Amino acid sequence: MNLRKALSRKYIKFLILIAMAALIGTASAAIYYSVLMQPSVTITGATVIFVSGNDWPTGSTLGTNSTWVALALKAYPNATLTYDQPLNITNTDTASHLFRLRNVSITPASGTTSVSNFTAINFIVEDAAGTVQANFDYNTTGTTWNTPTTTGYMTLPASTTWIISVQTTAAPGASSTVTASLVISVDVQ
Amino acid sequence: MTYPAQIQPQLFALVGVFLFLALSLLTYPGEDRFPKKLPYIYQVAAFFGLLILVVNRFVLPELEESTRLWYCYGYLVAVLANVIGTNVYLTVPKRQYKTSRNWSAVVTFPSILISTYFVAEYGFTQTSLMPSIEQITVLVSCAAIATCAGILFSKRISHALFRNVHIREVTK
Repeated sequence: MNLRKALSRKYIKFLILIAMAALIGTASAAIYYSVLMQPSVTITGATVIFVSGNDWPTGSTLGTNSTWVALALKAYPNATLTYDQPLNITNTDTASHLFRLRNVSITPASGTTSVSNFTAINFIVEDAAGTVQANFDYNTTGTTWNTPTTTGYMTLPASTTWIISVQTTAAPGASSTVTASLVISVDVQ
Repeated sequence: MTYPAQIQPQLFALVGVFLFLALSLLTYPGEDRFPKKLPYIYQVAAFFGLLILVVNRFVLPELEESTRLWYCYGYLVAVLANVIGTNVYLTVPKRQYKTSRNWSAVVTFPSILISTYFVAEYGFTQTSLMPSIEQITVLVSCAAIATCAGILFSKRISHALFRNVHIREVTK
């Protein structure tokens, strides 16, 4: 009877020890798991960047880290001005990336009389071989801008540079003091 | 794209906690071999490891990785010292060579092997925090400890070694 008592006491102690071990082990593993699941953000250079082209317009700005660009383009009244290679888009990564052009905003807004000074501003994406991949064409009807729809995603191969050329046309008799500001987003995947 | 999670220094503390818990459970059934309080001391040590993880995660999460590495690594070294210590305890004061050999094969060697693996894995990914010279030191130390333990606890050598000690003690 005493032996049975002693044994049962020993087993109970051992069971308590096991339960404590399971508790400590589970809690420790859960905490380590939560450490692993902590979100972390690592800053790295953009892999798809803008590079100034051979036909870089005077007064344009290439932003820090080449992640944004402000092109200062001209438009001639009743004539089409073509910038053959004002801007390049380069994939510096070892893997291909998808990108598309998306209209964000344009000023002067539609309905403003100065809009009628412009006829068209067309951004053309050409691959390395010169084949047109997309047209991103802003044109006007009276005082209304016809903004382009977002292009489909285009595949920019690894370590490859594509060209974004621009054609601008102003209306006959357009005022030389009018300026249009276009904001276009290049979405990269 | 998903990438495999990188090893964090806290993994050493986690491995340490599990080793302490294993020691606690393994030393309990042989109460006659080990001091009675030893399993509970190891449980407390494991709980201390849990506290390290809690403090690291919730109280001082902004600590630099190098700081976290060295106290977690220190905890792991303390566990390994205890694993080897129990082996030595079984061999020298208790003279339970058979148990000691089995302990060496089942507990000491796997513990060192697992710890070495994680240290090496961490060292290869974090070369700036654990340069190759330190990796080599750790690996060589662990290998040396494992080899020494193997030699020390091999039947013939340990018998010869400790029989002489016993004879000398008797003749004195």
